[in-house]
Parts: sequence; C-alpha cells; structure tokens
Amino acid sequence: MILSTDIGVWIASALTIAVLSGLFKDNRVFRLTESVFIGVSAGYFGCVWLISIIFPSIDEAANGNMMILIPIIAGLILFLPRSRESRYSKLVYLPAASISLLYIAIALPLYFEKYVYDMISASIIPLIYIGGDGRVVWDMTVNSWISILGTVSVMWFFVARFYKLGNTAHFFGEIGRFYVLVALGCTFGYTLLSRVILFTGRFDFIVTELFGFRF
Amino acid sequence: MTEKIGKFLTGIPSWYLIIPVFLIIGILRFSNIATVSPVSEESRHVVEVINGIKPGSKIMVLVNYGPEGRAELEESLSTLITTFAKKEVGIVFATMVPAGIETISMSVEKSLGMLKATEVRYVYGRDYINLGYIAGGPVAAGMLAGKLTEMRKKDVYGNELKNMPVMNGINSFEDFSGLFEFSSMKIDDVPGAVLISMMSGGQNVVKTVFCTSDNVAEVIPFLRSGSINAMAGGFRNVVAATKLLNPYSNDDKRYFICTAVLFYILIVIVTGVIGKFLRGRE
Repeated sequence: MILSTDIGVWIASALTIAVLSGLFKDNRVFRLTESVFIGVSAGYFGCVWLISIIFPSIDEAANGNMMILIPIIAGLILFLPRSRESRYSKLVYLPAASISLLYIAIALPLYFEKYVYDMISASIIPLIYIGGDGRVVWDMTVNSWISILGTVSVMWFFVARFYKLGNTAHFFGEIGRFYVLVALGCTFGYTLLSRVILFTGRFDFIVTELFGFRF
Repeated sequence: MTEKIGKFLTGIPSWYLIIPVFLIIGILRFSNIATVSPVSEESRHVVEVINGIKPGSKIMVLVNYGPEGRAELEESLSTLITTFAKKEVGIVFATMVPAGIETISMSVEKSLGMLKATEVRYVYGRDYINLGYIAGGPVAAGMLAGKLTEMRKKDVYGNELKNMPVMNGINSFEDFSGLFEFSSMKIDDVPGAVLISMMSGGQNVVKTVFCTSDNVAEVIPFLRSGSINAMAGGFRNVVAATKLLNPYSNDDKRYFICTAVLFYILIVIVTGVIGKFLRGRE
C-alpha cells in the first residue's frame, strides 16, 4: 500500500466519500459536495463555451469576417427585456423564429427518414430470412415476426387505450402492453448496471489511486 | 412466525443494504478469480471493423462522454487508440459535449502510457489531433459531416489545422476511413454518430459506436436500420471487444464484479417483496 501524495486524488476521494455519505442520511457534507459539484460543472462549461465559441468568434470578426457578427447580434437580441411596455421587445421573436425554422429545415426531413422510414423498414423487412444455401433461416424468421408483432401491437395498444373495443382487439393491445413493459424493464436494468459500474469505478479509484493497491 | 420474519426483513434500515456491496466489491477485487467474458457477435463484428481499417489511413474518433462514462468506456478507448497507433493510423479526435475535451486528454495520456513499453511513438499533430468541442448539435454535425476544414480551422490548442501533417488529405468527412463514437449521452436526443450519419450523404465511412449500458436501448434501433455499421453496446460487449483487442485488459473482472452486485440487488428486491408479502401487505 502506497498512499498517494497527489492533493487532487485526496480531494476527489474525499468528495466521493462525501457523496456516498448521502446514502446514510441527508447531511451537511453531502449538501456541500452537491453544491461544489454544481458550481464546478457550471464554471467548467462556462469556460469551455467561452474558449470554444466566443473567443474564436471574436477572432474571426477581428480578422475581417463580418458575417460572424450576424449570429452574435441575433444572440444578443435574445437578451432584450420582454416587458410589454418595451418598444423593441418583439424583436426577440426574430432570432427565436430563425433558430426554429433553421432547425426544422435541416433536421425534420432527416429525422423523418432515419427515425420513421428506416426504422419501420428495418422492423418489417425481410419477412422471411433466406440463408446463403437458399434455405429458410427459421430462428431469424421467427425473430423478425416477433419484431413485427411487437411494432404493430404496441401501436395498437395506444389506440386501444382510447376506444372501447372487443375482446380480441383488447387482447392484441395487451400484447403490446407486455412489449412496453419488457422494453421498460430492459431500460431499467441497463440503467441500473450503468450506475453500478460507476460506483465500482469510484471504488477502484479510491483503492488504486489513493491507497495505491495494484491488482 | 411468518409475521416476525416479515417484520425483521422490512425493518432493516435501507442504508445497511449498501454494506454488503462494499464487501462484494472488495472481496472479488482482491481475489484471483479467473473470469471469462462472453464474446457476442456484435463485439466480433466491431473488432472486424477495427481490423479492417488499413494502416496509414485516417479515422475520426468522437468522444461524447464525461466522467459518468469513464468507468465503462475509458479502457476501451485507450485500447482502441493503442491499436491504431501500432497500425500507424491517424486519428482526428472531436467531441460534441463540453466534458469530452478532458476525456480525450486523459484517454490519450493512458494510451501513451501503454505505448511506452513498445517502440511506437505517437506524436501530436503528426499522428493525432484534437479538434475539441464542436457546439451546435445537428447544425454542427451537418458541418462536421460536410467540409470539415472549412468549419474548423484550428485545433483545441489554437494551432492551424493546415500546418498539421495528420490533416494532409483530409478536407471533408468522406476522406476518413471510419468513424468511432464513444458515448454515454445523446446530442439533441440522437446518438452523435447517427447524427453525423444523417447529415453525411456518403456511405463509405464505416460508423461504429461504443456506448454505455444506459444508452444501448437508444442505439440498437439505428444499428438495425443501418444508420451505423457496428456497435459494442453496454459494458458486457464493450469489455468483450476490449478483451479481443487487448488480452491483458482486466475489464472482464470489473464486469464480473458488477454482475455480482446486480445479483445482490436482485436478491434484495426479491427479499423485500417476500418480506412485505409475509407481513400481509399487497
């Protein structure tokens, strides 16, 4: 065991233990660490935006690229006061509308293609898998049909919620509900695993970096 | 009797339940248990894509994770950099999240440490470059996927890109042989590689995603729909791909520990439900 002499490692370890103290019960050390985390994050992101966006833009303008002034002015207009009495308050809508329009023009057709068209195609095609030898690959074909059943029944589930339907239609909606629950369970499981990995990562940090144990 | 057992189980203070987690992690970490991580088809395919990148070519690595994804992805990113360094593949790093700048530096540092034992020298500017944080979500992705050198003229340290040997022959996104994304978060609700895939018309650049466990459900549909070509999703697949690239990696042991902790959590949940049932609660 070799204790670290790095002050950064000591601070990080102390903050990790302080955060974990919140598991016992809410305490002042935990709240202090929470505030430190929020403050440091805001400061870090502020610096990154300043260095990555603002300073290069000023450099560009100084080098004669006056086009860069348009987004800068549009951005500043967003900070105009919005009181009804203010004469120029409606100017705020100009950059806001430009941002929305630009976003819709660029993103919407692409999102529709990748999210709707490609996803539906991938869910229902092919209906029957044919292997390299010309025979039907049954496990992949069954997999494909399970996928189709899931897609259709989940959509039907949301329709069936709003209308009083017959028993068969209701049952089909219930299959969709089962698929939704499975999807939610998977997402919960994956999220839980992710947090456990984060926790073991912090444990590893304290053991290897602070106490110097090597595995 | 059942009432008593139920009362005992439900009466355990919740913070007591964390103590066995420390014991499980501690005991398994220090023991010499031989662990074998299962290798899935997805992981094999990712390794095939990595091996398919020709020596001397250039790739882009998008690092879209911060400290929260470090435990899951750092080892694999460092291994990937080391693998490409040995193949003399040029790497252009970029990030679409502010925390990514720090992550890139740490991973490169770790890789250089791994390379110290070999004769490979990986030099900034000649072999790799860091473009830094690219802000703007879909608009930035669109520009990144188009004329890269027109969008970005300087690297994160303020050096002119045209003076960097690694940027020779790179004008647009199409000039790269592959795109590798390491992500724990989405950009405007879409994985970064998918966003670039949406914006770039060409299909020549192979797109591979390494993502954290909580992002798997978001990325899988895009793998099936063909927006990305390969994916190592979740800790299990990331570990398997890392282990295939670097057999000396000890990530599989960490995966084993996480599985044991999850198993413990499952036992706690089931026991809690049984306790409530025995006390006659619904």
